[in-house]
Amino acid sequence: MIDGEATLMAGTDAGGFDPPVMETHVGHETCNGCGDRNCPHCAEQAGKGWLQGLRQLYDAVVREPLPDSFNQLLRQLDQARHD
Amino acid sequence: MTDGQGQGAAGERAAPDRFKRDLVAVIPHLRAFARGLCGRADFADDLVQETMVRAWNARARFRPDTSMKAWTFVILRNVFLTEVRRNRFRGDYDEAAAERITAGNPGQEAPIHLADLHRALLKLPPERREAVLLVGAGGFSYEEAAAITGCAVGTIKSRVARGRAALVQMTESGEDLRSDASESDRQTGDPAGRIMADLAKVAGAG
Repeated sequence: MIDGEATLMAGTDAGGFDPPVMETHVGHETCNGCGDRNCPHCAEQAGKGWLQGLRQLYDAVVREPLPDSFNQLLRQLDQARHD
Repeated sequence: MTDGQGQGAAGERAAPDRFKRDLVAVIPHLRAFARGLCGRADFADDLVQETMVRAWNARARFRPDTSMKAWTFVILRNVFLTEVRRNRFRGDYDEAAAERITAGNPGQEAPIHLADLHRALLKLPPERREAVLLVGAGGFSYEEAAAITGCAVGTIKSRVARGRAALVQMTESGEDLRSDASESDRQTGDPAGRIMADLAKVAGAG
């Protein structure tokens, strides 16, 4: 997955999540991560962050090469079918 | 041999090949779901391999016009619940596996530290963990997740919402992420009893 994809997916509600409804406060519109707990931008990012992170964890496993034990099992299943 | 017989024989040969191809395609997703459920790479792969064997043995019952991913996720979930009941297994944090995963994007600034999120996920009650995984990571709709877990759509929505709130709370505050106590433990003070009660609810819903 490219770096921006998780952000894009989180923003498009691909998993069936309702996007958070946020008020826009003057002074925080251009916030780039001030960390203020009252900052709506940072709160919104935290709300999306868990979803991005969850997908990163999941996708990291999806991208792992399959251990050889899986190929061995598939060969055994195939062999059992032909026997 | 008539044409019809020939097509039938070819169809019988093609069906297992298609089944195998579709099964192979979902293995990475099964591994990811299993890893999220139990937190341990070795145990997760054991669960997936048992799932593959059961799916293969039941392949005659699989309808090709349905989702292989959803069908195998149901089997995996049942295998997991069986193992939990048998071994009183609980979600555990696999430091080495987590390191491999969270080191995957070294240059990326994540809003949440992935290792903390991984720990927080494993501290969710099992039914919320699976709901969050299915909908949040697995790409299933609420309706599909409800079908997989055998519960109402509203129940899944509630579990996802509560799971999401708990994940955000835990990762923001860092509360108890380094301890062994799970959210469900803290609710009763009886970790094993609470886990089994949660699983009984999940099993009852299924």
